[in-house]
Amino acid sequence: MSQSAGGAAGAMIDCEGVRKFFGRFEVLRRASLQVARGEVVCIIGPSGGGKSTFLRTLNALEAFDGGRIRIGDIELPGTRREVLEIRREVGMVFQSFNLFPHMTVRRNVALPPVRSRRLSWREANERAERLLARVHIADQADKYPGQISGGQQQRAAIARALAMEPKILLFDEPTSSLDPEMVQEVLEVMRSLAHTGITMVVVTHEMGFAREVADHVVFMTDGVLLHKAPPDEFFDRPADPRVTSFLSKVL
Amino acid sequence: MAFDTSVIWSNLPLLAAGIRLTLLLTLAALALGIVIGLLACAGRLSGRGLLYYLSAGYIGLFRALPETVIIFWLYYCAPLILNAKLSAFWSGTIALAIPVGAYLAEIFRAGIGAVPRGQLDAARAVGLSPLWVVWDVVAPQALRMMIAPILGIVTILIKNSALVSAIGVEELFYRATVLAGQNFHHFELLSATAVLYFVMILPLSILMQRQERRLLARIS
Repeated sequence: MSQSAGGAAGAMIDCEGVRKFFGRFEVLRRASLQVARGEVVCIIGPSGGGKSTFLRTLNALEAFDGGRIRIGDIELPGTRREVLEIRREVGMVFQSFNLFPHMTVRRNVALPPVRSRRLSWREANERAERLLARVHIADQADKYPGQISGGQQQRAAIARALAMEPKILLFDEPTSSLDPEMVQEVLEVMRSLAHTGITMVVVTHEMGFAREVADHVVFMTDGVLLHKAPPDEFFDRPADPRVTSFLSKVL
Repeated sequence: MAFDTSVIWSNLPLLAAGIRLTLLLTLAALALGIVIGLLACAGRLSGRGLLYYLSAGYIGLFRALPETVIIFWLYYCAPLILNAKLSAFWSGTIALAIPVGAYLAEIFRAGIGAVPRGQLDAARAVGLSPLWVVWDVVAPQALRMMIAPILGIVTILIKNSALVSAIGVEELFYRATVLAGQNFHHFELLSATAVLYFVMILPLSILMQRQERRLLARIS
């Protein structure tokens, strides 16, 4: 039956009617989204519309109160073991970087695979260095997060999110707290990741990035996801007046 | 009035024995206080159960009572209820540890609470299990913020340890007053005692300042 609903059974991320309350306020009001393997989806929309909260339900950082969420083969809310498994398959990049300030950049990246007992410190450090080279900050490996720029910190955070070799990457407004001149270096890294076949869900205000990189763009407001469409259609022929109104303000 | 330093030197071995007991008292009370503080902190963080109210009550009560009252009550009144009398040393140690535990519980809680929410998010998001989240991310950052206030508590504890002289524990201040009572050299012996307390506390003050500077350097 789920197959008749747009081939959702094959989706990497499959959310149907997700609800969440903060007290009596309904933040997520039956939000639904399917993301196929290797697809890049950008979520845009006004602040307070539930974008971050929705993203955080996908790796069980937030619990939800109704509906279904399936990530890969695992239904949320899963057992503790399943939640850990999901988090190890789903990398997340935050608006405020959230690097561990008391560890070097290398250790930030090497720690996750060591603690999940997948790698030894030696192997994890080698992997960390490869990933840091991939985001062009190999030379910053021995520094602490407080000693490097915001753009470098966010790229280190991307490397950390990649350390578990996840199948899915979640980005929560990754460039929103960056100085303007550092936005491009982070977007560049994300652009190159999008072409590797990893599944990405990106909450962003970067319309240019969404238009250029996303396979689909979806609009979120008042706790619902609206009008998932390819970027050309989304931006040029918006189907919903709320989307039109939002775009007229930001473009 | 003459200040006869030879009185100090000749009584130094006795005062040194007092210092040993003062340090022993401080360490024992601190160790006990840390255990109590951890339990009370865990209780306060446990949500709204019986443990929460027990911990909150303990912290509220013993931060409000003067140390002297706790020391006297435990030594003179507790035996009436318990039908057993502790030695002055252990009674004094426990009496000093009880308020220390209350202060430490709040320091622990504040330190844990000061770790930014985003750090927990990040630690969980990379798939660390709860034990590793605490070990790798919460504890190191919380501890760094706790060091200076804990050193402050230790400083106060060393000073408060003089209070148990009142129930006859033969620590530094007790020795000094008893010796002075015998030879009437209060001036020399109490001055020497003041210097000795200062010397005990000096390294802690230096450590505290250094820690504060390191913390500030990290923030900027």
